[in-house]
Order: sequence, then C-alpha cells, then structure tokens
Amino acid sequence: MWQTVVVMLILAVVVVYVARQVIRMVRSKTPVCCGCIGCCGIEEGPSSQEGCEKS
Amino acid sequence: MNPGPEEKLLALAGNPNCGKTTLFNAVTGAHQHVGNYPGITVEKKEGFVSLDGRRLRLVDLPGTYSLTAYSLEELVARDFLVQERPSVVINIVDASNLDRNLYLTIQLMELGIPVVIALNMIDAAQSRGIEIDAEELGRRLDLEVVPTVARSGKGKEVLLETVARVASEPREWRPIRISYGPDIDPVLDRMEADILEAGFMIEDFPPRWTALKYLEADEQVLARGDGIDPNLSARLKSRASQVTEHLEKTLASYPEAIIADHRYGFIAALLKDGVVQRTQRGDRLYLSDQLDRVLTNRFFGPVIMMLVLYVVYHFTFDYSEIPVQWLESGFSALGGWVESVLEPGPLRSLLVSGVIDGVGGVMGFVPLILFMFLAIAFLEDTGYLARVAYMLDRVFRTFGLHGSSVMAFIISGGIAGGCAVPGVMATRTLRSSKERVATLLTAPFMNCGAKLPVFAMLIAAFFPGDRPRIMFLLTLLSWTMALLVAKLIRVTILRGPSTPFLLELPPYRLPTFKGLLIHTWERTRQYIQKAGTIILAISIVFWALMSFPGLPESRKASFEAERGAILAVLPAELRESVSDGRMPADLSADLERQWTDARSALDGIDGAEALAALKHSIAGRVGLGLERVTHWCGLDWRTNVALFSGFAAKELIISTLGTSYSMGRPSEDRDLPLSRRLASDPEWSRLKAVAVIIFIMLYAPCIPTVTCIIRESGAWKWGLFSMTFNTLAAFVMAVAVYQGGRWLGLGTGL
Repeated sequence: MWQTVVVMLILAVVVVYVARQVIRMVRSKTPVCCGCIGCCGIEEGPSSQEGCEKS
Repeated sequence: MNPGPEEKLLALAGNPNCGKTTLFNAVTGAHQHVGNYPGITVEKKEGFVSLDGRRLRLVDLPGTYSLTAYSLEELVARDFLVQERPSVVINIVDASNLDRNLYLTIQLMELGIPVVIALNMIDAAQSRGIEIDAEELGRRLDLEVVPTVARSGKGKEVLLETVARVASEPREWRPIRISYGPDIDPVLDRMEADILEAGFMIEDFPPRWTALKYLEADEQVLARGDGIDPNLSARLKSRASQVTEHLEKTLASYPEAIIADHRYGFIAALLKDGVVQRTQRGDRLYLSDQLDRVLTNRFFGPVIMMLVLYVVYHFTFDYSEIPVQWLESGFSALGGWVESVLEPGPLRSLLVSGVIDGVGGVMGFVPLILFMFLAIAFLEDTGYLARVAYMLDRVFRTFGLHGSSVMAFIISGGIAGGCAVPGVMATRTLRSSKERVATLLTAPFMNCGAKLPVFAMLIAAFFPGDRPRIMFLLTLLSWTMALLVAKLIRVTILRGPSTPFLLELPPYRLPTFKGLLIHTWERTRQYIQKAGTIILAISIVFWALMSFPGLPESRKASFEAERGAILAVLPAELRESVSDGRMPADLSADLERQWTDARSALDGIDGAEALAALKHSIAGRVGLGLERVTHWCGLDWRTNVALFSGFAAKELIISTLGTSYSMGRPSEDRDLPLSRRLASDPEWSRLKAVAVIIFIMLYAPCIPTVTCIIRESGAWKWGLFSMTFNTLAAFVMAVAVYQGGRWLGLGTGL
C-alpha cells in the first residue's frame, strides 16, 4: 500500500514537471536544445534560462 | 546633407592605397571639391558627377582595413555609412591583394549596405600572374563586380553605369550572415534574438552586427548601448564575456581573432575553384592551402573523408566497448540489489523497470557518446569539418541543396552524435528560402546523438562483430536518404534555382588537449543531464502507461488458480519453498526435481501474467492497435510503444524498450542487458533490426526539433509536414526492406 502512495506522489511530480517542460518549449522564443552539440555548452548559470534552454 | 530626390549619394570605401582617391578623381574630374565635416578632423572628399540626367554625389571615405572602432578613420567611415545611408557603396578592391581587401567588403555586407565592387588595379594583378574571374566573384557574393584601372580610367564608365543602375534598383539588401563556428554562432544567435526582441538599436544597425560588436567589445557601440538600454546591454556584455572566457579555455584565443579567422576563411573559400588563379602564394593561409590541396582534392579528398569517418567509428566503438559493459553490469547489479531490498510492488517495479532498466539503458551508452564527441571535437577544432562541407557542396547542388546545407547536416548528426535543433538553426545562413526549407526538412534524417545509442544497442544485439562497419553504412544511408528526399522536395513542392555557394574555410588549427576535453565534457554532460531529467521523467510516465490499469481481477484469479493447481500436486513440505523460490538444502534427488519443475512452471505463469498485464496496459493496447499496420515492416507492439515515446526524444526508444522487456521478462533474463534480451527474443531477427533502424532513422523528428522547424520556417505546415512525411517515408522504406528481405528468403536468417 505504501508503495502505491509513493508511486502516486512520484507520478504527480513527474507529470507536472513534464507539462512545465512542454509549455516552456512551446512558449520559448528560442529553440530548446535536446542534448545538442555546442548549443548550450557555453551557457552557465541563470542566463541559460533566457536563451537556449536545456530540456 | 541628405540628397535631393534626383540625387543619389554614393560612398567610396576601401583599404588605404587601393587606388581609391585616384578612382575618385578619375570619376569626378573637374567637379570635385574638398570639405571638412564638423567635429571630426579626418577629411572626407566629396564630388559630383552627372549621369543620364541624374546627379550622383560621391563621398570618398578614409581608407580603412575594417569597420571596427580601432582607429578614427574607421570610426568616420562607419559613422558615415550608418548615419548617411548612401544609396550604394563603391568598394574599391586592390585586385593584387584580394584576400586582405575583401575583409572590408565582408564587413560592409554584414552591415547590409548596397555594395558594388570596383576590382581595381586589375592590370597590376595580371602582371603578378594573378587572374581573377570577376563575374564569378560577383555571382558568389551576389553583387556587381566591375574590373577597373583607376590610373588610366579604364572601366570607370561601366562602373558608374553599374552604380547608377544598382542605386535605382528596388532591391532589398539583407546583411550577409557568416558562420563564426560552433563556439560563437549559438551565442551570436541568442544575442541577435535578444536584440531583435527589444528593438535594440535596430534602426541603425542590423541585430547580428550589433551582437558581433558586443563580442568584439566595440567601445563605441557598447557606450551607445549602455545609454539606450543598460539592462540589455549588460546582458549582452555578460554573454560576450562568457564566450570570451570559453574561447580562452578551449582554443586559447579570443572572439576578435576567431571572427577574423572565419572572415578570412570565408574569403578563402570564396576565392577557390577558379575565381583566383595565381602562380605564387605568400599569405598567412599558405600552409592551410597546401593541406587543402590534398585534403580537398577531387580524388583524394573524398577517399580521405571516408577513411576519417571509418576511423572515427572504429575509435568510438572499440574504446567504448568495455566501459559500456561495466556500466551495464553496474545497472544490472543495482537492479538486483533493489529487488533484494524491496518487496514486490509498484515502487519496486517503477525503480527496477522504469528507472534502472529504462534510463539505465540510456546512461549505459555514456562512454560511447563520450568517445564519439571526442572524435567530433577533434575534427571540428582542427577545421576539417568545414572541408567536409566544402567537398560535399558539389554533391549537394546536384540534389538541389546548398553548400551551406552541409554544415546544417553535420551539426544535425551527419557524422553521428549531433542534434537536429542547432542543425535546423544553422540553416539561417542560407539565403534562398526554398533551399533553407528543403534543408531544415531533411537535416533531421541525420543520426543525431539521441539516435546513436539506439543504433548502437541494436547493432550490439544483431551485428556484434561489425559495429563500426554497420554504423558507417548507416551514416551513408542517412545522407543518401536525406539527399534523395531533398531532391524530391526540390523538384516538386519547392522548385527553384540554386543560389551561389559561400562557405568559410577557417585555417587549420592544432587542437589543444584541454580544449578537446572541455568540448567533449560539455556535450557528454548535456547527454547525462538530459538522461537524468527529461528522459527520466518521460520514462516514468511511460512506465505508468505500461503499468496501468493492470489486469482485471478475473484474469488475476485465473493465473492464481493455475499457480494453485501446480502447488496442490506438490508434497506439502515443498509448497512454501516453491512459492517463495528458496530451495531447501536437504532435499532428495526426487524432491529436488519436483521442486525445480514446479518452480519453472510458476515462473512461466508469472511471465505470462506480466506479459498479459503489459498487453492490457494503456501503452500495450496502443502498441497492439498499431501492430495491425506496423507488422508490414516487422514492428511488434513493444517496438511501437518505444517508437511512440521516441517522438518526445529518441533516447526514450531505448528506455521504453528496456522498461517493456523488464516488465514482461522471464526471471532468468534478470541480469541481461537490453541488447542481449532482444537478441534472444525469437520475435526479433537481423532483418527486423535493420527495418527498425531504418524506421528510426527516418521517422518524425522529436518534438523539440519540430517546434524548431516551425519557428525557423515561420509556418506550422512545415512542422506538420516533417512529422507526417518523414513517418510515411520511414514506413515505406521499412516495409520495402522487411518485405523485400523476406521475399529474398532472408527472413529470420538475416
């Protein structure tokens, strides 16, 4: 029973996280990287959220 | 100061001692006069000339080598061009020093200013054994080039007529876009987007030019930017300082030097293939040119290129094999440990099947990705990738694409290990919208870093002895398919002429060990980060889709009854131990045989129940539904679910397959990696693996790439087109391979 409760909590968090990622990707004015070469490599710190975002 | 309606303002710009003033005098004759401009001590000459009733005002700017703000002459010239907005700039170019003089031309073009080139001192160049194809040069730069000899006045009439015509043409002069390499381009793009969004100085300068000036730390532009929008200016400076620091660490260089290198590289490429023919060379690019004679040779170039590609795959697969096995064993041991400490239940299933067998499958390929990125970083840092692009230009034009499309393909994973998102963004350098759309629709066919582990896993399962060779063939196949589809698109929905080829060839550079490590680590870190975040999250979602709603009670009871029937016929002392799977130590030979048979039967029932539950799940039912169509190309329901998850990100194909095989697995498979599980599955064969690989190579790009295609093309239709067309093309190709293979009798034997 306790495993079911923990799994449900994890699923809730994951669904919210995925939904936020999708919304961010669709709304973002700059393309969202997906493990790309070079694109996000230089970005560090808070400014990375403004430009090429890491998904 | 502003010209009247019948008057055209023209500016003469060029390097010092290029014959600029001589030409100015030859053109203006007796009408010239000299005037000082208030506030600036540098002198600019002004003259007038009449042509067909039109009055042309010529301003002779100070001689400059560039448009940076290093000298007052450069500032004067730049300010005049920006503030006065001449109808045309006559760029006087010394034909005998073409490389150096075109450096200014490129900067004028980057400002988006209308330019006509006066190829001056053509006689002096010829006397030094330099022959220039002016027409071809103009075609490649997409502007007028008029050969002149200022001293004798030769060519001045043609020049004036050309200038007058260009000044009257309603042409839109867009700033030229030069690629400054993988370190600077992405940052430049982001800075440009910021500038455009804020409308920052866009009335005076093209956004990309402003971004370049921030990278070059141009004091004048920076001071002006600080006054207009201090916040944005600070952000742009911060981005510029990040890239400066990065270049110092990786290449021991700085942005101005890299920018200059790429401009000279651009010029070097521009002047290749017959534009300039000379008998003597003495410039700083001599060594690079000598190397290029072999490495980009018509015959040896492609042979060396294929060899390099093959060596890269050998290096990657050979050196990553053992670390990959270590990681697979590590994840397997971790899964075993979790199973030993947690009682059966949904959390254990999530951790073992969803996380460890799912995401662990993706993480297991980190060594392979690391070695591949190291090899690519080496090729990139040496400048060889640009040569690959250069050599493939001829092939690309045959298929209706552009020389610049090659770089977009390579960035998308042309050698394997790239990403279609920056690849699609790289199409911005293409001038023709039709060539650009054709490129961004076909670039996702390349084998990106997300497809690479999927292919590596399938190759390890079905072609363990030929891994580098198969990967090499897959690379050739992806390029062939992309080019064929590009040709199809260019002769049907995107018909139009090809535009001239412009591609920079930066000088060769010996990469530093530290630089290679930093580049490799950056990319590997991104892969790990992605696997640990979005891939993990979506894997958990797919685990849930494969776990719920679970079997109905009636079917559970049916399996339970089967178990009960097996236990009922056992001696009473064996029932409990068979049920919990722990064989007692002191059994007779007969009891031991009974125990083993019963346990084996129970394992079979457990496996059948798990498989039934998986098929009954949401994802299972979707997979089974799709199987009615996909069985034509050999795809079973589990693969359908995995491919469906691959829409989000291609790595998910591995994690979803790992999860589905983990959830419906027999217990003896517990310690096997996914590749071994697939290899031992009777539903899989080499033929099916080839069909699946082809389907994965060609089917719809991942969602981030599709959104990028929509954004870059400015139309939803191209995003939807790439999803439907690519999936259809993948299906047709996979069916052809699978059914063709079966018809040839390859069946399960291949």
